[in-house]
Formats: sequence, structure tokens, C-alpha cells
Amino acid sequence: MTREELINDVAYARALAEEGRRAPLLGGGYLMFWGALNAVSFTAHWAILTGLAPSAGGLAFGLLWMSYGLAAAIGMAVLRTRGRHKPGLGSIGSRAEQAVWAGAAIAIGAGVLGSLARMFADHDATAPNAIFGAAFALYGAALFGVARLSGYTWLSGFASLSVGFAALLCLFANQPWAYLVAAAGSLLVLAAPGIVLLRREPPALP
Amino acid sequence: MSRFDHTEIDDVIHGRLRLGIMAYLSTVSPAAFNELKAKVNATDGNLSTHLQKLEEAGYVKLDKKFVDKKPRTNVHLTAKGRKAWIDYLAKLQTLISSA
Repeated sequence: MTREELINDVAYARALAEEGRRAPLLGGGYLMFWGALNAVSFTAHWAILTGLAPSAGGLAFGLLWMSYGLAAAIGMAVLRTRGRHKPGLGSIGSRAEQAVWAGAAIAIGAGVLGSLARMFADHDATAPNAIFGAAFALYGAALFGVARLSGYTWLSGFASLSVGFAALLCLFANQPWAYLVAAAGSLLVLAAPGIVLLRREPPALP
Repeated sequence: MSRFDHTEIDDVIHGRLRLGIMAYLSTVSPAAFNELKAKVNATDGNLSTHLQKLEEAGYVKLDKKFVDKKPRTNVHLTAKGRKAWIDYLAKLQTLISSA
């Protein structure tokens, strides 16, 4: 074996390692789904809140958020099945993406449970409004983490935008129109990068 | 005279195909058999043979299961394999720079 052959082998190995390191992220479907689901639900909540849609004595809110939970459960089951057949699922970027978003989801879930508990305990219907600011801050942290760990640095822009929405929604949490801002934010910081990632996804394995 | 001596390199890793497998697994682990096959441009039989050699050395672990009723073989880089890969790269660097 000559030095040149060895250098060629190293170049081949490097090309393959880089291909793995730059494997497409596979979370685009999840981002698009949650962005769209949140946007539709927040807009519907705003419509009920402002009287544009019938409230039925508050029953509409319950129906809306139960439908949200059902749609979320079905959507996640479909997305999990779909993701299992994609190449690059074990890449560093993809594993970082899964871990970071799983952490963010647990944190958001804790915020949702806490604020719902306060709503029922204190009969304070505005308690769940506190979720918005925290959720967008967590989206920002997750997007920033994924951007750094995966090398998809363009996601940092969406992370910054999400943090901006978090500040805005903390400031105006109890305004009815904050639901529309949150809907727009969901489309911009979740659905939009989700569509970009989805378009770059490789086809499923045979 | 050159001090380049290829016998110092880990032979288990240094076959063209095994080198490719280890390089890809260093950044994507586990990788599905079909994914690996496409990346290193190998046939089923050829890839199986080389994976067997790496598995015998303890560098990779094969995990066979059914995913949505379809058989799937996932290839994992083991801790021993990762160490061997890092040692291999360090050895190459030394060899190339000393040649």
C-alpha cells in the first residue's frame, strides 16, 4: 500500500462520515403538524372567546381542546410510523433533534398540566394563557439546540423569532388577540421550518 | 527512506468496504442494513460478509427485528468499535505525517 492509496482511502472515509454528519433531519413532519394543529386550535379558541363562534356556555372550549388532544394522539402515531422507515434516523443530528424536542415536549406538558390545575383550583379561566410564553421560549431553545447540534444553522433564525414571540406573548398573555399572535407564531416558527425540512427528507428505505 | 509502514494499521477496519462502513457508522448509528448498503454501494452478500468480520472483532453489533411487519437489520457501532475507529484514525495520521 502506498501513501497515495492511503490518502485516497482517508478521503473516501471522510466523505462517508460527512454524509452521515450532514444527514437530513427527520423532524420536519412533526414541526409542520404541530405548527398547523396549534394554529387552527388557537384561531378557533380566539373565535369562541370573541363570540365569532358559539361558545355553548363554555362547552365549545372543552370540545375544542379534547379534539386537539385526539388529533395530536393520532397525528403522533402516524408520524412515528412514517419516521421509522427513513434513512439517517441514527445520525447525530437526528438523535439530537429527537432528544431536544422530547425534553421540550415534557417541559411544555408540565406547564400545561400546572396551568390547567390552577384554572380548576382557582376558577381562573386565564391561567392557561401562561402556557404561550413558556411554550414559545421552549420552542426557541429546542430550535437553537437542534441548529447547533445538527449544523442546520439556519434554524437559529427561527429560534430567535420564537424567543421574540415568547416575550410578546408573556407581555400580552391575557389579551384575546394573543391567541391570533400565537397562531401566527406557530405557523412561522414550527410549520415553516417543518416544510423546509420535509422537502429535504430522503425517501423511505425499501 | 520512508517510515511509512502499513502493517501498523488495524486490518479489520482497513478494507475499502469496512472502512466505509466504520466511517458511516461513526456518524450514523444505528444504521439500517439497506441504508448502509446504499451508502457504501455494496451488494447484500458483500456487505454481510464484511459486517460479519466487524462483528467478530466486536466493532459492530447487528440487531434484527420486525418494523411494521417487515424484517429490519440495524447495525450499531459498539464502544469497542468506536475506540478502534479513533485509534485507527490516530494511527493513520501518524503514518501519513511521518511518511
